[in-house]
Amino acid sequence: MAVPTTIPTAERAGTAARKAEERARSPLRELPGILNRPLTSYYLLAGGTALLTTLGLTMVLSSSMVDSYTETGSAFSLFEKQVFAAAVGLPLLVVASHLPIRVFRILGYPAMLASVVLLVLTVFHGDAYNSGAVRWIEIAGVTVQASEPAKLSFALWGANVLARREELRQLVEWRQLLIPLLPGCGVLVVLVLIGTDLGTTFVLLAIFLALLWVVGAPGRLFLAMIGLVISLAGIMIAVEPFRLARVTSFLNPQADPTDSGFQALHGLYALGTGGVLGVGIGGSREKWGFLPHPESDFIFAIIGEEFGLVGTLVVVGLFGVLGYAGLRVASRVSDPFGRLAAAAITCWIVIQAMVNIGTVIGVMPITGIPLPLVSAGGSSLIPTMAGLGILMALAKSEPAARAALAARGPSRVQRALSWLGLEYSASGAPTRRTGAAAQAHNGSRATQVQARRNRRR
Amino acid sequence: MSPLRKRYRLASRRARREAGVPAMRGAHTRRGVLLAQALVLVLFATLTARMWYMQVPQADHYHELALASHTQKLIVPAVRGKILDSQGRPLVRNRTELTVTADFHTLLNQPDDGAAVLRRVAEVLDVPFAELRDRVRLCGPDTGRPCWPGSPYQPIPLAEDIDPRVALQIMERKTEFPGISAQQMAVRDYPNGDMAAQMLGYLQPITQEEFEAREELRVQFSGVDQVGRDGLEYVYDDRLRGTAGTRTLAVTSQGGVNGVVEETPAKPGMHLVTSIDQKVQRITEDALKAGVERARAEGRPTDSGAAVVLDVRTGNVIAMASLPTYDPSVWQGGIDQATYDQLLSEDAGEPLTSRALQGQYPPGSTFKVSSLSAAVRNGADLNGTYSCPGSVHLGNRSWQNFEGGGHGSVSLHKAIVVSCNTVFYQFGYDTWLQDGGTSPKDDPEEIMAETARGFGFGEPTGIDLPHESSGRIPDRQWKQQYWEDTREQSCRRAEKGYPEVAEEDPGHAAYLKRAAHEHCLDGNRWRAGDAINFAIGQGDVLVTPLQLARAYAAIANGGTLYEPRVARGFLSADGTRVEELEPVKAGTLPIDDRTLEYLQRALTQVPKEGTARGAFDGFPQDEVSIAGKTGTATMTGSEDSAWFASYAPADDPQFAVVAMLPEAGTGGVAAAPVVREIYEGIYGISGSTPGEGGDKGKPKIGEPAMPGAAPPEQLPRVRPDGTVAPPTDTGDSGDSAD
Repeated sequence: MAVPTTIPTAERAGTAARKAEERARSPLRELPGILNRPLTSYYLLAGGTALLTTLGLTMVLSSSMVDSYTETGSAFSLFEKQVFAAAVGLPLLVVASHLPIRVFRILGYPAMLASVVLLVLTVFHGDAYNSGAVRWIEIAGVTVQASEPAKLSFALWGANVLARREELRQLVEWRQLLIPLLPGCGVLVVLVLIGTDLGTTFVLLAIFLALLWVVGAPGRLFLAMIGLVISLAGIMIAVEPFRLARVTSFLNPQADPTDSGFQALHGLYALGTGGVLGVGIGGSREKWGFLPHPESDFIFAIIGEEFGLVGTLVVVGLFGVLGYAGLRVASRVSDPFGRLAAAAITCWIVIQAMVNIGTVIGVMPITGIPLPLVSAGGSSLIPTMAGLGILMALAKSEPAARAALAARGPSRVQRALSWLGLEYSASGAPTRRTGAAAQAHNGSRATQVQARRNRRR
Repeated sequence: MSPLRKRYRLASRRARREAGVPAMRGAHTRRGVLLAQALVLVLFATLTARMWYMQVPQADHYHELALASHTQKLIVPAVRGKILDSQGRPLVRNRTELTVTADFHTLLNQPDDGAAVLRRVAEVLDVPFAELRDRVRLCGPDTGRPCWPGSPYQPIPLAEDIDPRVALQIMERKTEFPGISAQQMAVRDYPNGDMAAQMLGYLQPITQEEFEAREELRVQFSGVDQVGRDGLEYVYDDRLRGTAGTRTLAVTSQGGVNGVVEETPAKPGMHLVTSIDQKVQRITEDALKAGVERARAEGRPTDSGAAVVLDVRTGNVIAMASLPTYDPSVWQGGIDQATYDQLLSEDAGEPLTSRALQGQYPPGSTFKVSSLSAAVRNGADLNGTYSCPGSVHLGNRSWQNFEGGGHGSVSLHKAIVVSCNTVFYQFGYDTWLQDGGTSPKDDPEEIMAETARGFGFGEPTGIDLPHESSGRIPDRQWKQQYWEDTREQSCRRAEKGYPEVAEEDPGHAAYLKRAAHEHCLDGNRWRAGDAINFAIGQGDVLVTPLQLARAYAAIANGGTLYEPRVARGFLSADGTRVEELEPVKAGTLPIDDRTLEYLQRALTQVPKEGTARGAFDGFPQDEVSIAGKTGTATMTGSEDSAWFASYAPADDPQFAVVAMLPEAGTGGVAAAPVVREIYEGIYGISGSTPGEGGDKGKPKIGEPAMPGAAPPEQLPRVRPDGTVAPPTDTGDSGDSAD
């Protein structure tokens, strides 16, 4: 049995290698030398996150002023909440970006458990806030949307589960591939769906598919899962009437401009009013009580109105940068968990951004998910920032990056963390190394070490 | 697709891994990541393309839609132009009235829908709360009156013409009266009361039907707009109205107003300069009123009358009066049903009708100018001698002269001066015989009717006022038509008679029955009697006072028939634009100059030695020579109707004046004095006394009503401050005509 299988595999590997060589020679790869620098992913992630978060805060202020003023008498009430959330999220991001990768693996299970608990609580004690979807729960005076951190938890947990299977070389059968990943995903999806949150469901399923894709699930399994997701989505839409209304209104927002198509239509009005250069910051008219929730799900429309096509392209571009950097991390990082987690987090953020933008520009039905980093809402902002922090930590664990960082010596944060026993290097390598030695450090070796540790635990 | 194959695949992978080729696994996943990257790239490209589509090619479309939902367009009605007399004095102007208004949305945003506010307003204004509450509700299909028919974005009037003290009370306590304000609103003002009421016309709110009919004018009208309904207001409505401005308000999704986004100021309407002279109009109306009162004092049943003063050189109307009249301000603020019914009722004498251009009466002897012209055209010798017996026997019947007197042999000149009917009977009979009499030629000349039409009778004059009557010039064709239209009824009457008349006056009933019988039998035939009556302006001939005035103006000016005009031009409110209307010639009298001069000479003698001598006794004709002709139309069953048609000065004609008093007596007695008074007023003659021929001192000629006793050649002009200066006023000092 070994003889007939080895030959085609070798052939395939040869083809892949040739293709990799061709790619390496292609001008796209050669063009910016910067992109090949070891810490490119890290800086792209840090830059993209910083820009999007700043833009988000600005736009939250701009778009929420009118509603905040009419509701609370202060134009800044919602903005203050968002600043608070960012103030929580930023340290989380910084700390996460310096934590060793194994911490994230350890965090996977408890985070997943906490998410499930929160979602269950939401199901029983949640509040719909007149939105038609029960998604919010009040904990110690803070309203939390449990489905938002659930995405991060699922990404970490799923990556950990599959990485473990891969490291243990258990990925030989369907059962090992899908269990416990599929049930875990199923539980989350069901809980989220009880809260009638179609958008989060979609993102969770996208993360699930991304994990399967990256771990190398056979195409047929992959197709079957996609089919399952689509049929599930179909059933979900068919069951709940308000989802159907949203879908139909997306297909023709002008048919009923007063009800379900209202938000979509006014989103288009805002984009149209913005044109190429926009009406200028703060100049939006749609935020004056026309566009519902301008600061959350439809903040992209206000960006389009105030900054025009230039602004929307910048936002899409920044998410593109995040996506590129995230996938770059996934393709460069040496251990399976890093690869899977990077792919899952990237997929989560990028898919969510695309669904949100697609909704606003009228190519997708309204699902009610926020634009990551930009939309108002701490429940979304904090996990997203944490996720990006993890992604940055993963970026630093790229073999080349690790070597480059090692050459610089430990940063203050690293030293601070090492006092807590959380030293940076996951592989236990000495913190000071020459660049050449770092280059020589072998990816596969690190994986083996990691795998050993995991087994020990 | 069998599970076996899948197992085989997975097994092969396991084998590969067990064989220790980690690089291969890396290649596989890396390829997956690259594929994902490509997928993401495609998705981003799609998003970008869609965004470009939404924000560049589709931007205008959605921007317009957005604007439409963010703003509310308001129509700001333009200030209506004034109607001025030829000296720039206002005949109709605008007055601002303090009006308390309510803002619909502000009231609606009150916790109790503004009930408390309205209650306070009701207290201040001292009106019932229920009335105010009804006035602010929007009109719907089932809403009773009063209700607000306009846009909810327009201020809704709660009370008009309020005391400034009350307005201050409201304005000073703004917090107690949210949404309530007192503002000046323009209403039409008539400084001269009922003067020239029929000519000026009136305004009424635009009706739904008009609104829908004037599709293209939709932007011009809002619910509060008023439209000219009659007279000059109706004819020149579009010029007077101006162009409404728009105010685009920024509104929230709840309809609250955030501010003004865009404002196009309303362009005020043009001032209409008429040829009316306010003083002459006043003189004319007073004279007519006095004439009617005199006639009534003599026991005549008249209660109406008409007088027209035309400028013979242009056909412009200088004054036009019709009795009875009314005050057009009754239309302000919505006329109530009782007043409206009264205006239209016969008891009130139908004051809305202008008898000067809508009233049709037999012209009597004033028509002889046309008949004489027709006779001369037909070959009668202008210098010939004609017999004027007390009566003539024509067409199996004897025709009497007026009051039976004869004058022997007369010239045509004398026939006009003494108004000899028998001469004209003969003319009428002769032309009738020429056309074949009872068995007419195939193509009768109808010279009498044709000449009358040449004088402008039988068709509307084309004056710039609505509802003008055409009068009636009967001929063979008309008679045939009339007979066909009425035969059935006549025949029924011929059979059944007039029992309702017979109860009171059996003789008259028998006459009517006989007439009906005749008419039923051969009413289509143009008989000798018709032609004879025609010649002296009786029978079926009907003219309007305006037509007659125009005909005499044409005789005076050398033969030109003008279309009478009330409007002389337009002035823009800021005085920058002036439009002048040129006189419009409608035709020429169908007579040669010799006949015309002959007629002029004859008419000039009428007030001096003819039928109007008594009326003009003592009038300084050496200063202002009057030419004219009396007319007395007799009708069976009613009193004589009095006419006097004239022009002056006879040697250099300027004015044509016609007075008509139905059922007031003879023209020389009832109508000519009215005309005399008008001339006295125009030329500023005082101290002349009609009748008796007494020498109570020479009459004095004082200040004429119009400077130079002639209509001004120039239009008034608008001073930079918006007031109107009379045409003669060249400096900026002096009294404003406004």
